[in-house]
Amino acid sequence: MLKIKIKLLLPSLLLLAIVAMLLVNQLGRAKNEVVIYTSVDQVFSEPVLKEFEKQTGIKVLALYDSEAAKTTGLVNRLIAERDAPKADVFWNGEFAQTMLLKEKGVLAAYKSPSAEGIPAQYTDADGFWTGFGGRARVILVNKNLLSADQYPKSIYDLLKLEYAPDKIGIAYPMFGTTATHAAALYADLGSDKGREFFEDLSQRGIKVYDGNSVVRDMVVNGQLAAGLTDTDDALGAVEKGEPVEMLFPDQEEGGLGTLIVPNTVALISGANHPEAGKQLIDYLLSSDVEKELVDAGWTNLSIRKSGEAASMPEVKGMKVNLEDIYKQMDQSKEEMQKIFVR
Amino acid sequence: MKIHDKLKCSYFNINEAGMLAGVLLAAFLAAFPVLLLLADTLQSFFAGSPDLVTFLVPDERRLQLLARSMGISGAVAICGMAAGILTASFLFAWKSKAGLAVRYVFFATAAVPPYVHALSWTSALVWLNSLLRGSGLAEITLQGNGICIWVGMMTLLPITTGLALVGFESVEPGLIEAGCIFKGGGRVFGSIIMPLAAPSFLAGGAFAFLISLMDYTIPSLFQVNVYSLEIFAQYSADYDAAKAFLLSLPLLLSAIPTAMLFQWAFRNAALLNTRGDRKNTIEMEMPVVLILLQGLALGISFLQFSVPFISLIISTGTPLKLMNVFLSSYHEIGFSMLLSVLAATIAVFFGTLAASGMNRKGRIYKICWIFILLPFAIPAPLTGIALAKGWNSIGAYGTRGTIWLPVMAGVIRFLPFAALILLAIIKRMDPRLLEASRIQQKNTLHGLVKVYIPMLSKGLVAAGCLVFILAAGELGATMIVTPPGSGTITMKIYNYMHYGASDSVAALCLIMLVLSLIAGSAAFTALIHSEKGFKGGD
Repeated sequence: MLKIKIKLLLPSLLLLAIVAMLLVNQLGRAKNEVVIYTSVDQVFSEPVLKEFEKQTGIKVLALYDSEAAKTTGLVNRLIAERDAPKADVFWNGEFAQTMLLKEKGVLAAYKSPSAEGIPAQYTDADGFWTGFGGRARVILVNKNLLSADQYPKSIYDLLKLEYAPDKIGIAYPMFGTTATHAAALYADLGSDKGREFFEDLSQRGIKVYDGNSVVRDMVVNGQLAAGLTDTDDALGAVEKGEPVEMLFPDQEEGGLGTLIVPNTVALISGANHPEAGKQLIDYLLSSDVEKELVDAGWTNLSIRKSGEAASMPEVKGMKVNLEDIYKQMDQSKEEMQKIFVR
Repeated sequence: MKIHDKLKCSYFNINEAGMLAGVLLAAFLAAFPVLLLLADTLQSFFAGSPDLVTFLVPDERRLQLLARSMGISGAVAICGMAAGILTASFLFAWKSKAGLAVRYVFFATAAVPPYVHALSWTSALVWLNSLLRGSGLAEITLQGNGICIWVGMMTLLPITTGLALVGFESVEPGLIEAGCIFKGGGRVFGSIIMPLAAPSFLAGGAFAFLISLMDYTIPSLFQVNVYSLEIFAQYSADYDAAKAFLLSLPLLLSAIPTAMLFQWAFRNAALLNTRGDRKNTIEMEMPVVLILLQGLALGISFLQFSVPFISLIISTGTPLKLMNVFLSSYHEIGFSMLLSVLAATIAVFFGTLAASGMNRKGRIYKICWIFILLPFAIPAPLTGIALAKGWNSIGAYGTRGTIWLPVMAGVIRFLPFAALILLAIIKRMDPRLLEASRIQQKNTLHGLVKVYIPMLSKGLVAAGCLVFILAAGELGATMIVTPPGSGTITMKIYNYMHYGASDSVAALCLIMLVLSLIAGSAAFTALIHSEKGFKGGD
């Protein structure tokens, strides 16, 4: 039986308070450090940041996002902290929310010397953010359920009657890279055709899940024959030896192309450690880190046209400008909400 | 005014103003995010965003989502409470040491994230379907309201069972004995035990309803769209907290009748102080139907624990993997433990103030209770956003990058739980002991330290352990306010889940399960034995 003695209770509380205060003091003390918020999976980003720590001696305090928060977590936090920022650097796994943060006045301009070789279309004209690395929107298929000649080759194949609708899946197109993909289709095809594609998907009765990783899991366990997801999710399953295959859709002549989503990195306006932040940005934009992320499986495409990165697989990308995609986000998200959340 | 209320009021020789101040402080703390969001919304409206009004009135699509959410949550609450009551009734009658030990098992999975429950059940059902397919039988559908309600019920069963058991344990053994002299066990169970335990049943059902209403992770896995997903979708669209808050209003309004239900239930509960040794209670003979239903509920409860537990063990792989994950996560484990202990301590303090006030008459106390229960109906990320904004606006210097914001997030989110547990304990306190101590005490503080707090101590531990478990599993608000460089186990679970490190996720969930088991066991032991130190009058 649990026995609480009053004689021990007050001293225990006192001790707890002392420990808490010591912790407050410890955590609040300024050090040679840099604070980074990143939406890149902790499994991939943490080793990169640890290596930076080792090379520079600058302590990295990282905050990772969670898919459960639908990427609203970090972005909302950065906006809420705008007047008293805690972060120095924002490393995003995509670009649309980085652009949003620029609009909200959260970012500061910084053109890194490490950005050499990165095409202008993947950098902000005013220098508020820089793109690097690339993930693609891919179709992951279950090899036990589909033979090679049955593999979908285009996102439009997901509408074909030969695939049972309850065996095709996507993530909710109001969040994350699926939202970006929807906006990209709006930008490339026009809003009417873009909307029509998703309306057709919804009317077919395809399955819609709470994230790209869930789509991956459903394909892996056979609940789906094919699903739309990102390269990092797909590669994780491939490398584990699951019975799946990753396909880049719409690669044929005249095809739409595959949406390539670059990572983006930006300096936070009013950062407490701006010089350390710039050092970290320079490091993240280096070719070495790009290669490291490819080897780790976070990205597998390069947007650089020179150096070692150029030897990575060539994928035909969608012919859309990042800025145009961003401009379609509001409308596409609102319409996706009405189509899929009912 | 009933004699026991008068006695309790007269014992507590702190003047009414002091008590009211304490309750108002607790209410303000709990309602702080709502108040801030409301202020933010009004500011946006008057700054020139009249389109906000359109979010006040749900359109047909949103009404359908809301109706579906209410229906699913209601079904989860009713089914969960039914299973919880039946399981608890069995445990209530099982008075041996083995029976007491088994009770702890039911709390073990309380802190495992709902999404992990959902994935575990999905894996289990996929496996079962493969067997059914092989046997030529119809497969179980893995989408729709049915499976959604089932998994929701499984996730919340520890809470509903625990509260039902608290209700049963609060029934005076003497009443049961007296009833058994004249009538059979079934009649005594239906006419005496169930009505007296009803307030706890209502509380458990209301808890389950509100928690289920706020969750979209389980429904989305089973292809069911619910209203809380609409809130997140809207928030993700333009990061406008005002719009998200307005969309949350229907859920917020549902907390008000729930709060009123709580107040009615507890104010009208019988004098619940149990004295006497439960072991002396006459054994009741239960009707066959009830025994069969209890068996069914026990089977469900067994599945509730075993499915995620077995799934987690299989996914973890080896004990070495578990050890490696434990060693690589010691920082997150330490941070989670400290955060949860601090949140539990502060929540219990304010919960005691709130519960003491609830036990008093007065409209102001009823209104305060509505505010205290508001955190149930606000999505966790909105709580975090409000807290972050509020903290920045008051310039809480010296606390930047510290643990205190996530601690406050835990306090605000789970203060209602602590308050309700403590209210149940306060209502069980013998007013004659309190009155006797008031005569002997040197001053109010002396009486508090020597009598009141010791009598309440088990409840303090129970409420503290419950908040500990819930704070350890909290994600939505915590990740908005956690200092960079730190993280909780739950944050790590979700981060790794996205990556697909299912073995690491499973190992972390097993660690959470063990922590939950320890804390839940302590809480339950404290609750059940809260009257044993003060038998007075025997």
